[in-house]
Amino acid sequence: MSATLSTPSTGQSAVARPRIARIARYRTAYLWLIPTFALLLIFNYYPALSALYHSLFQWNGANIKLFVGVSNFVDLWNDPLWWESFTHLIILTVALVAINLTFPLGAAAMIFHLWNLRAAYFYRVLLVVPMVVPGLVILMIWMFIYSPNIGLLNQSLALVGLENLQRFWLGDFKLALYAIIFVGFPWVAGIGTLIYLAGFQAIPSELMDSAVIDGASTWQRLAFVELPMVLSQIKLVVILTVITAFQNFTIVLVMTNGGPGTKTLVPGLHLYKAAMAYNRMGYACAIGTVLFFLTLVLTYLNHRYLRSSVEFTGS
Amino acid sequence: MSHNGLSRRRFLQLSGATGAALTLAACVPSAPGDDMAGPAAEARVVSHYAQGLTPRERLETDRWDPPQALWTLEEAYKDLHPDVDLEFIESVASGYDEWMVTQLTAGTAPEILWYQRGWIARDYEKNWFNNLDPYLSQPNPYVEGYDSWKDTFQGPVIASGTAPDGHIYLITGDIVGTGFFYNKSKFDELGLAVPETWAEYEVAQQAIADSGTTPFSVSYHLQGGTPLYGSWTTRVFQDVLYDHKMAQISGGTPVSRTWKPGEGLQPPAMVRAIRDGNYAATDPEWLEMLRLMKEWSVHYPEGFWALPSADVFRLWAEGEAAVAWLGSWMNKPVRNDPLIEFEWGIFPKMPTVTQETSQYGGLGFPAMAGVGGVFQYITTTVAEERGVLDDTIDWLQFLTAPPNLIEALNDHGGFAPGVKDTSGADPTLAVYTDMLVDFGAERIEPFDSMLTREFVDAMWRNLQQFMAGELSADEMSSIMQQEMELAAQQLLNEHPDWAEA
Repeated sequence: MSATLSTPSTGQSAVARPRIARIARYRTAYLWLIPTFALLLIFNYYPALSALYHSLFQWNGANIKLFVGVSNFVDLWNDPLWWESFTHLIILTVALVAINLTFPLGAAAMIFHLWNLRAAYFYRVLLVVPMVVPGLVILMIWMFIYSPNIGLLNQSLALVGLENLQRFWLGDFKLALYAIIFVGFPWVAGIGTLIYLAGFQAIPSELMDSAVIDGASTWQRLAFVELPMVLSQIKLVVILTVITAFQNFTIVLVMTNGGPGTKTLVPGLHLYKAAMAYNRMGYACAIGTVLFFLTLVLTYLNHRYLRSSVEFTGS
Repeated sequence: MSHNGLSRRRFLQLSGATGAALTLAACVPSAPGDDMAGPAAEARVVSHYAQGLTPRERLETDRWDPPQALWTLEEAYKDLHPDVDLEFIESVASGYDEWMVTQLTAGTAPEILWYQRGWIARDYEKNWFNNLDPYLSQPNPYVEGYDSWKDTFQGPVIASGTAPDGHIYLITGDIVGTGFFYNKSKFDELGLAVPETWAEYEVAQQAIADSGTTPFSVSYHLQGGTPLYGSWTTRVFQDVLYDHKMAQISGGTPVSRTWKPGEGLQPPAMVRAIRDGNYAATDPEWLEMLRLMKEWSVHYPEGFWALPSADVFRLWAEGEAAVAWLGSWMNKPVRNDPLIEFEWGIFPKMPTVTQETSQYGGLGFPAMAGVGGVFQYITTTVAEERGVLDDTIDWLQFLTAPPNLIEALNDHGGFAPGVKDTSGADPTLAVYTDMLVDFGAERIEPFDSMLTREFVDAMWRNLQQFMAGELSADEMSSIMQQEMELAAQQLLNEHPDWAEA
């Protein structure tokens, strides 16, 4: 009986021992990972879990903290500002995904096809340099471009005799959201272009050569060889774009503060105001929780369904 | 030759351990004065966010001298208290309210923070700042001849920091004013006199517009425009248009116009009035206010709702607009700005809306002025936790000694002192204080502080849309009535004692 009982225990130890030994062998590597995971736990996982917990409270960040169940989520459902901001977010996300699937991809393809390697290197550097300029500076420049009285855009329109097209770009109730989307035009100086370029450069040369030998034209190569080969990069860019669009509200905060009226309000800014201006920390946590799950679902759907029947793996 | 260097494994171990140690060390909060060495390490630190009085060096782009008096006063204070270090927090460019709430919530706020008296009612129970009554009742060691620190201030000025619980939480030391700054040269050129009634003003504005100049410079941009000009305009219009209803709003007691802040209709009274239907955004007086504002807006700059607020002064200073509504804080810039090449003046009072213009008109406007401008400071509860509350109070007592306060305010140039002894105060500011004393201030609590922060945001957002023609008056009034009821109910839930007078 005792022998029977001791068997599983011996078996578990037998499995555990090599694992412990393996961990001991790679202890330096695990040691290296500790600070990273400690910081991740403190600054990413803990706040996220804390937000989930606090979304169930009416909490003003100071002296009032009452458990209210899902009341904050019900309030969110009935909040017209949430729905308006969410509509803006959808427009922004669709526009940004469309932009990131075209302009940076086109730029990367063009650089990839340059015969002159020095020129390719030059253009690559040219695309990286603007990335080191602080984002806030870029936004200030665009605010100046859009300035109604002294802005570059309106002044340029006047210069070519198109005064009738002058607008109060960021103050126009119909155009402000599109003016926000237009910031950064021609949208090629970003991480997206570099990701695509890395994908193009990883395509095996044998594949390209065989396509040429088979008589594929430049467009056919692009459509049937190169784009399928960079599909994993396209997926990555789509995911990053969606996550950024859902999380980032800096551009709106700095350029319009959600206005005119509420025409550029996005959920991130709604969350920020609920927390930092209105002391509705619990409600803000509820907004954050909803945004988190929406991003999670979209990322999953992207992984699950954005898949080509000819997805290759570069060797 | 033997190899004495570290092995790769050893190097990686050491690097990993050092990195982890440094990371953990960086996460440990530093104690005040940690960066001091030797005897200075014992100095206690009082940090102060002084808003417009924050000293800074003059930049090449400055067209007038920035405030620097606090540096001089700091030196004088250090001579008396070498064991206390003062630290001035740099000005927060925008989003101050959010910054302040974040600092107070996180417990990382400076010991002294600039704060608006109108916010006290909604925050005083959050344990963010200290009840100053025990200190105010004691003498100020830097002032002779007064029984208490409180007694050194003009009564209405220091009383403005009183919360609904009757305690004073805010040290208020100044008076602020606004006025219609007009281009006298332009008025003379067109043969216009300063108008006394709104109807005369309308004629003058039309004449200015016909001459190709914008009659009135104003911005309803959400960042710095509507929250300022929307607030000022609604404050003074409401006071006039609701004059016949003041007693009804207050619950039966007449409300006389005075310059003493505590004597108007405070947030608790407004919450009750909204609950009982005695004050509503659907009132005919409220709609009349919207009508007058909308009619006035035809004389504003084109696209005024999108105009950056800094352009309000620029348009006027460069002669593109004939009148601008500016504050006493622009007193120094206006007098020193090389851009201004015309003769200018200030309307002695806002033109009166008579019954010719509105059925609710007749009473002159109050002064768009009040107690508390740049010098409104709370001491945060963080000061007590850090063990420097007494030093914090002592610095404020030093700063509010009349000669010191006046030195700081004169150096800024835009605010009149709120202490009893005003010897040496800048005489050019008398025009604003005279207006305040002569005409009084608005009686209905401004929208900025009437209800919740959420309400005021909704108010400015919708007002901007209304002024830009995106909302009709009826839509605006209906939306704001809902917001008003919601905010009033929220405040009643948070402050059940407000339910009864």
